[in-house]
Amino acid sequence: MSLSRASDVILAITVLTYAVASGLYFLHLAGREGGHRFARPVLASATLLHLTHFFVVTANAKTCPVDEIHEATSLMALIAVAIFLFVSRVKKLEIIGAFVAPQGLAALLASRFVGSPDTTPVRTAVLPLHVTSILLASALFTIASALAATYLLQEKQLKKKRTGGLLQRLPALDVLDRASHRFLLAGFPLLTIGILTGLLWVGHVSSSKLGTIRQVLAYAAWVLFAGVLLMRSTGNWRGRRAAWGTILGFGCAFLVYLVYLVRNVQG
Amino acid sequence: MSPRQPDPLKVAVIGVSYKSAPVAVRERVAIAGEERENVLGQLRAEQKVREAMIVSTCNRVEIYAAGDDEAEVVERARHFLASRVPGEDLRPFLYDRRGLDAVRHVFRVAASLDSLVVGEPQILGQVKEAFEAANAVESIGGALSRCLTRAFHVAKRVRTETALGAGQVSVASVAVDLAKTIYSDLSGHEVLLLGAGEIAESAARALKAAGAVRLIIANRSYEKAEALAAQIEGAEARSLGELPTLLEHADIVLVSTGAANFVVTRELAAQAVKRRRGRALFFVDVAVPRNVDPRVHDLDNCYRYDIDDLETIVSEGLKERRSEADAAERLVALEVDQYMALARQLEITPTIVALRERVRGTLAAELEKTLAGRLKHLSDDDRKALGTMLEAAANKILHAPTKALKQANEKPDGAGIVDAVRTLFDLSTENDKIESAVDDTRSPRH
Repeated sequence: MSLSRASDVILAITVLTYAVASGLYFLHLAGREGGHRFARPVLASATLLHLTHFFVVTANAKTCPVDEIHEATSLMALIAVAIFLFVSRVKKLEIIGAFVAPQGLAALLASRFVGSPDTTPVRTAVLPLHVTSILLASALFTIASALAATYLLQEKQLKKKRTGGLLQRLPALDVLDRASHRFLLAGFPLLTIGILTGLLWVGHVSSSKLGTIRQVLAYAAWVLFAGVLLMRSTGNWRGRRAAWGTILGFGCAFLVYLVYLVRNVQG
Repeated sequence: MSPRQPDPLKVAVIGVSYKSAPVAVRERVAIAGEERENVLGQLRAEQKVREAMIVSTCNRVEIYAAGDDEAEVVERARHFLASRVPGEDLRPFLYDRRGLDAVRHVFRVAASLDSLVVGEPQILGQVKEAFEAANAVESIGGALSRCLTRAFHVAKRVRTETALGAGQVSVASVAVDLAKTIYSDLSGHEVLLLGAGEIAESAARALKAAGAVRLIIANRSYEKAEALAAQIEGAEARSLGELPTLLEHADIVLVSTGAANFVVTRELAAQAVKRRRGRALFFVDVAVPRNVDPRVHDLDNCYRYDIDDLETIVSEGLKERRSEADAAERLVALEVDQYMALARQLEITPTIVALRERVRGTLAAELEKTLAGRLKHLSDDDRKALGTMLEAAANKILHAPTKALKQANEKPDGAGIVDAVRTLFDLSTENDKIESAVDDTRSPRH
C-alpha cells in the first residue's frame, strides 16, 4: 500500500473516530448515560490516529509541516485537541469537548478537502516562527472559543431560568470565564508575534485580493482579541461580552485559515 | 349527661398557594404578623366561624377554620380573603378543602408534602407559630387544636420515618446550588443578607457553611441585624442605608425584608454592576411582596431568582425524591384514616354513655315513682329484685344499639348511625342547646 493510500485510510478512520467522539460529547452534554465514560478515550484515540495521519502525510510529501498551510491546519487541530485532553483532565472541563471535538474534525476535513496543497511554498527565515506562533495561538484560541461558547450556553440557562440538568452539568460561569480569558491571554502574544513576522514575510509574496482579505481578517482577529483583553482589564468586559468577543475573534482567525486553504483554488 | 366534643372533622381550609396563584397575587393577599390578630378577630366575629388560624408564608396564605356548618365557614372565609384586594376578583385563585380533605391538607402542609420544595423544614415551624399565635388570642378550639396537634405528630413521623427531609430540599440548599452554577467555589465570595426572613437567613447560613467567606447582614433595624450577626460566626451587621456600597462588594444577595416596595431597584443594581467591573451578582429574592425588581435579571452579569423561580428546580428534585414522597404520602394517608377513626370514637363514646344514662335514668325514675305509689307495699328484698330486673332489661335493650354504635366506627356511614341514635333518644347536650341558642341570637353579619 502506498503512503498516499495509507494516509487516506487513516484519515477515514480518524474522521470516523472524531465523529464518534463528537457524538459522545454531545450525548454527555445532553445528559445521556455513557457519553461521559467513553467520549474521552475515543477522542484520545482520534488524536493518536490524527497524529499518525499527520506523520504519514508529511512523510509522503517530504515537506516540513509548517511550510504548507494544509498540513499546518491539521497540526493546529491536533494541538488544540491535545491541549483540550490535557486541560479537561486537570480542570474538569470535559464537557467543552462537545465544541472542541467537532472543531478538530472540521479542521482535519478542511486540511484534506478544501483547496489543494501549495507546491511552491515561500521560504524565508521568519516563516517557521510565523507559522509556529500562529499555529499555537490558533490552538489556544480554539479552546478559548469553546470555553466562551460553553459560557454563553450556561449563561443562557441561567438567564432563561432553565434550571434542569444541563445547568448542573456545565461548569460554573466563573470557571468558564476565567479559563477562556487565560487561553486568550496565552494565545494573544503568539498571535502578535505571528502577525509581526507575517508583516516581514508579506513582502516576499505577491499581493492578491485574497491576500488582502486574509490580512484584514487577521488584523480584525487581533483587534478583537486585544479589545477583549483590554476591556476586561480596564473594566466591564467580563462574561457575555468577553465571550462574544472571543468567539468573533476566533471566527476571523478561522476565516484566515479558510482563505489560506482556498487560495490555490481561486488562483 | 357527658358534654359533646367539637367534631374534629368540622374543619375547613381556604387559601391561595404557589400552586393556585402567582407571587403577584399572593403578596397582596399576604397577612403580615402584626395584622394577623386583627384578622383573626374579624373572622371570629363572622357568624358560624368558631375557630380560626392563619398561615401566611411566602408560598401560601391559608385560613384554617372550624364551625358546625363547613359550607358556611368556607363561604365566609372565601369572601374574607377575596375582599382583601378591593376591585379585583381573586376567587379564581382561591381553593378550599373541607372535612377529611381539610385534615389531609393540613397534615400534608405540616409534613412539607405540599411545599414548593417538598421536605423543606421551615413550614412546620411556620404552622406551629401560626397555631400558637391563634391560641394566644383564644381563636383555637377543640376541633383545630385536635387537627393541628395531630398534624405536628404526623410531620414528626414523616421526618423521622422517611428520608423526605434528607438531601437538598430546602430553599436554602437550592439557593446554594444556584450560586454554585455562577461561582464554582463559594470560598472567597461575600454573601449579603437583606432583612431577617427565616428562609433567607437559613440560605445565608447554608452559603456560609458551603464556604462563603463573609456574611453581611443588613436590616432596617441595625439592632436586629446586630443580634442576628451575633448568632452566626463571621457575620457582620450593617445598616440598610449602606446598600449601594454593600452591593458593590457582595456576590450573592439574599433578600427577605418586609418592605412593600422594591428594596433593590433596577437602577441601584445597574450602578452596582457598573462599579463591580463585570463581576457577577446573584440575587435570591424570597420576599413576598418581592423586594428585587425583576428587571434586574436583564442586566449583564446579574441574575435574579424569586421564590416562584424555584419551582422548576423543585420539580427536578421531586423526581429524585418521588419514592420518599410516596412513602410520606402513604404515612399521611394512614394517619388520616386513624384521625377519622379517632373522630368517630370521640363522637361514639359520649353517645354510648349518654344513651345508657338516658335509658337507665328513665327506668330508675319510673321505678322510683312506682315504688312510691302503687308498689309501696313491697319489701326491701322485692324492691331490690325489681331494680335488678330492670337493670338487666336495660342492659339487654342497650346491648344491640351499643354494639351498633361501636361498629359504626368502622363503617363509612358511621356518623349517620351516631346522629340517628342521638336524634332518636334526644341526646343533645346542655352545651349543644346553649350554643344553638347563642347562634340564634347572634346578629347577622354587617
